[in-house]
Amino acid sequence: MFLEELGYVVKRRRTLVSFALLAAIPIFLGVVLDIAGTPGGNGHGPGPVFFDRVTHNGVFLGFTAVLTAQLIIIPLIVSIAAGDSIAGEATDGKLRYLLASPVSRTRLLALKSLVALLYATAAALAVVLVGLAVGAALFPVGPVVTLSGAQISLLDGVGRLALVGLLAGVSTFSIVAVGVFASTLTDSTIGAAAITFGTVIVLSILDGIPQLAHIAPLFLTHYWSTGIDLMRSPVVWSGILKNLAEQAGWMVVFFGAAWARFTTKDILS
Amino acid sequence: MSNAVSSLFKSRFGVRIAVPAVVAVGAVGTALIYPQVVSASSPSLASETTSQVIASAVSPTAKIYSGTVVETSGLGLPSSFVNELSGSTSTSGLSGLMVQALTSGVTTNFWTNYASNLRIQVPSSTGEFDLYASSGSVWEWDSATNTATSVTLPSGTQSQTTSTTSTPPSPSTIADALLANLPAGATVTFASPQYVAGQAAYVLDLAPNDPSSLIGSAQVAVDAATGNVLGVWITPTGGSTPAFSVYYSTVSFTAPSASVYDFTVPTGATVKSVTLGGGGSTSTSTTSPSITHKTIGSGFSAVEVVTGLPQSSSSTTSSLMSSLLASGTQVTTGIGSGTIITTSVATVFIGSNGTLAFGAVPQSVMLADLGQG
Amino acid sequence: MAELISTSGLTKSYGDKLAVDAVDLSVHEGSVYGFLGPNGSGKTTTIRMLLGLIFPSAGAIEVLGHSVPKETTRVLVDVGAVVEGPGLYPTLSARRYLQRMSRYGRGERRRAIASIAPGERPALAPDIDAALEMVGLAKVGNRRVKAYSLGMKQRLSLANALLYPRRLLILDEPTNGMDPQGIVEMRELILRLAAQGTTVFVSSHILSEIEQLCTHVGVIQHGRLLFQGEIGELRGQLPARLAVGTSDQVAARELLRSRFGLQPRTDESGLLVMDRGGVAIDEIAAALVGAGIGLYRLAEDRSTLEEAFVALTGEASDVS
Repeated sequence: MFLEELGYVVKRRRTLVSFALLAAIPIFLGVVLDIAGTPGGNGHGPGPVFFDRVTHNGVFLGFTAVLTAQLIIIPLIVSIAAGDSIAGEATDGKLRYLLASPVSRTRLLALKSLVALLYATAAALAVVLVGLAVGAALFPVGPVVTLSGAQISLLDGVGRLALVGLLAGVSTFSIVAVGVFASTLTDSTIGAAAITFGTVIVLSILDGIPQLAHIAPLFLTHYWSTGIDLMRSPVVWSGILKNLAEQAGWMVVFFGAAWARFTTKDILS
Repeated sequence: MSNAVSSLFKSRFGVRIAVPAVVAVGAVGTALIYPQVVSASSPSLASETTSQVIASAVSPTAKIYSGTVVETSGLGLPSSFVNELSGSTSTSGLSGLMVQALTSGVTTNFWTNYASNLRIQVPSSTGEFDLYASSGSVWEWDSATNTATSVTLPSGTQSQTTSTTSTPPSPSTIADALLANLPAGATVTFASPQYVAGQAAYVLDLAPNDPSSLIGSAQVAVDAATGNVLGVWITPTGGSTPAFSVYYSTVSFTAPSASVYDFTVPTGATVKSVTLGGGGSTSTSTTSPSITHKTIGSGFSAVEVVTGLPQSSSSTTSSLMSSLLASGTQVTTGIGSGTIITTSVATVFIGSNGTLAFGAVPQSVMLADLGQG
Repeated sequence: MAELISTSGLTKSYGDKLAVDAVDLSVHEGSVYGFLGPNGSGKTTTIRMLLGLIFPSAGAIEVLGHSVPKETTRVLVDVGAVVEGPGLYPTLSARRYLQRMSRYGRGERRRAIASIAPGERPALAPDIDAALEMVGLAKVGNRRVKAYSLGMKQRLSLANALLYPRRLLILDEPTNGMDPQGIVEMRELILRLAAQGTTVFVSSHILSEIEQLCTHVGVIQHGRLLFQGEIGELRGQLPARLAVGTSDQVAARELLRSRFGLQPRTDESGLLVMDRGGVAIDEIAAALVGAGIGLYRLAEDRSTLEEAFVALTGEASDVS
């Protein structure tokens, strides 16, 4: 059942288009930097973190790409995938046949959620992987300088890049939970995805309002930027751990709500 | 309504939604309320007199080798000036941090061995600023500009470098100044003990009782176990929330690994060098012979007057300076004409002839003091 | 015979509206049960409750001796279902669709099989080829479903219900969207499956489509079960009607009146129509021929089931 679902998702055209879009980010950034060079020479440009380092060390293309994609594109793609999880089956009446196949509602929900979580992780890692590949193809690669100015080996740098990518994926687990819950509320994939992505956007806007600072730590977007703490020497773990706790909290609440809803819902589609 | 609620709880959905709902309440509670409960909960400490606690704060029994210092500031700077500061493109590096420290607050991590090494790290969401100091070499590192700046101390002060640079700025610096300048009429009482950076701490409440000071009260948290000052909160006269605070959010009493002090200029970085006390420095040495310094008054209402300052040091500062000056009031005093600016806990006079006066006093007191000068 | 479907007081309400109102279904093993009712009468809601898709507001359901919705997944291992039209993946082929569905149900099926004595265990794997063959899609099984006609999609849905040998088939409007040829084939398939011992519960709003299939009938309207029983019993509720055509209708009417005490009347096509009561048809024929009246037509009314339906529900069965 798991392999079936994984295979089904992997072969879908929507998956292909989504991952092509994700891969386009590092490719686009890399090509632009290769043609135009770093804006403002070796100074700090207005671009994303590490943007100005890419032409000196291709490894940074992976960082720049994933930290950029993490803000809008990955949440969007994850919102669509999670919103599709149950609602996508409900359209055209497929859900009733899946349940009659038979499979218990709890197992179906768990399966769909697990695949969506893997999808989210794969989305972030795809950006990292393509970024690293494009960076290595277009620019020199070598030992990596952390934000603290310390030099670490290329292998260590790539390892941290992988962790940053993994963390960017895990940072969207809360989105998956919200999306799966929204997906149990409606039979429309677009509707569920819109609710989910809308939630992310609204929370990220509210996160920047000083008057809400005392509740901002509850927002799922609040600790997203802590991924770059992996690039400090020594690594600062406190923010990363808070992010993991944040994601876990949202997952428990919204996967729980999705379960409560889906296992008691009349399937009318 | 109550009917709908009771039927919800009888339904299957009502029963099942209870699980995530309870978790949600628990999570919100843990994230928002628990820290407040902990900080509000008073540790029970052995009763001591305020003077015993002050004495313990003067000579702590254990050193804080690393930790996180949180500084917050709601000084009430003129809003036009704050807008100019935050809108300014030069808010990176050290000057940016100073602006941030004045207008909102800065969180810094530090590591020290109290002998030869100090590292201060100011992380931000997009990078970090570092100060690496070890005997004989001091580096500033700014990740935003990928720039390493070698800081050379004035010759003759090299031997003092180790001791001065290996001591991090901390709440105790301010607490010492407050405690040393306690005026005669000041009262020192205990507020309820609190946890600061996870340590049970006595909280001293200092009230200067000085009508000519802007400082209404200052609270000083002293670690009950080690005597370290863990935090200082300064509340203006008539105010209810602190206008300025500096406290530890984490502390460690064990020496950190030596590797945190390592700094080698990374390949590809821009290298600069500055000499403190010489030209082009952003810091100003008080040992410069042209600068004079005097104190008017005493205690919490003392006013410091500095004369002989250079008119301006860099173009960015002067643009900010003109904005700052524009936000103040033009006055003429006994030490010349200039601009006077008042915040919630301090008043600053910037004279057109290179004079500067500042103190925790209202504008009227400042003008009266300067009029005498 | 065992009761394969049994409901008692089955009720589903949406707010104040009762979609299904205290229905007591009883479907015995070996029967072909026609579940009749106009659109919106509660057929589909009832069937979805039998399959655990909708939760009843009140009442109890037992299917194959298991309680629904509590043991829905266990029940559905042995039930093939077509629910209100197909639910297909347009981009998948028929073969790939059946593969996906069988992989989804595999875990539950394996668990159910494990509880059966080793010698009697049915196959775990589905027979996709046989299922496609049965519904006549074997030749187009690799084509993408989006190229299928509605009738073909309906057949594929039926193939999904036939992936494994089933004890019970629950078919909700299986002939919907099919051409006449398809309807005939569907009917033949159901009869074949019934002959092999599969119990079939089939719903329709068109009586004539399933009239020849069913051994038992349930009639539902406005959520209420109006009739349930053998199909002959439904017919028997109406008087047996006879239509007679002769060379001399006046003489024939007089004869039937005086000899048998019948009350014939002339219908719009000129035939004599009457309730023959307990009089045997051959007796009537012999009397007419014996009196020298030319008999060229003698027929029992063929539309009695439809009339029974109309008599029960107050409306024709094919109103949609």
